[in-house]
Amino acid sequence: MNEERPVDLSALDPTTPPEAFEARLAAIRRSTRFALLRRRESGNALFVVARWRAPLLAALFLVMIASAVLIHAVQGEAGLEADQSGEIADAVTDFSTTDDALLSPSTSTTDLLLGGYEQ
Amino acid sequence: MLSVSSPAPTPPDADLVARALRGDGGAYDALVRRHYRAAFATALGVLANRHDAEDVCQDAFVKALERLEDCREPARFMQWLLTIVRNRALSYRSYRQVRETSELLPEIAEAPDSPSADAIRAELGAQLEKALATLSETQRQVVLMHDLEGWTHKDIAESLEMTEVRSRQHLFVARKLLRKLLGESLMKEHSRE
Repeated sequence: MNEERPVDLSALDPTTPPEAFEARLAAIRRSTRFALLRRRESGNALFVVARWRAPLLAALFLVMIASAVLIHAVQGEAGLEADQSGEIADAVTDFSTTDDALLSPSTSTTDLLLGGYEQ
Repeated sequence: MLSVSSPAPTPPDADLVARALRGDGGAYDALVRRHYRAAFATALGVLANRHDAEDVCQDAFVKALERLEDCREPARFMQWLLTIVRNRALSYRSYRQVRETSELLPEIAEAPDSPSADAIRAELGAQLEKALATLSETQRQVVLMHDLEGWTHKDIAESLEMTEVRSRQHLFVARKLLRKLLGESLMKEHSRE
């Protein structure tokens, strides 16, 4: 049967003439060169760092703020404790007032316990 | 001792895709060379115009590289590529979008060729193009894939999502119509099947 024979479509073959086909390939090559360059660079460690520099800087900034707040809070607590311990130390080591009160005949036991002798 | 030099093994598509993903221009070039005719046959099947089909092919190869990560089965790169080509050809046909690669045409037109061969080829091409335009889109795609690209009915059926029997029927009708329009001059002397 005639329909069993292929149609000669070689006149439509895009790979001939070879010069025209090579020109087409060159055009595709030119159009894809930036995409290929990006792909080559994306495998480079420096490119990866460069690509992530903005998020990294943002994260670093947040860590710095959090650290500053934490340090400030810790220092505040440490300062308060230091003040309180200083008062206790003062109270424990300042015997002069107590001695005076003990020596005074008008100081009662209640005054000594409640500190009324200071008034 | 005589040594028979076998041709260098052609790397499979999956390897070339992997290399192209890393920016290997030579690998992508090889993929383009390997699948250009299939892409062209697909685009021509949709558009029925050689120049439009060539533009769509070039555009599709550029887009395919940009979206190469989307090719989830690199071994089936061609099927994935032909989907892009077909979609872009349909889009081109519907909207006649601005040609992104229009600046390439002058260079291609300037490619050296023998004047007489060029004239004969152009005339034959024009006749074929005109005859192909009278076929349905499916008939055109089947006959181009089979008689231009050399695909089997199994490959065509898979690509166009039809049965092999339907592919054979479309080819039969397409050849009959083309023979009627073109005469016997463009029918190949030997049967492939």
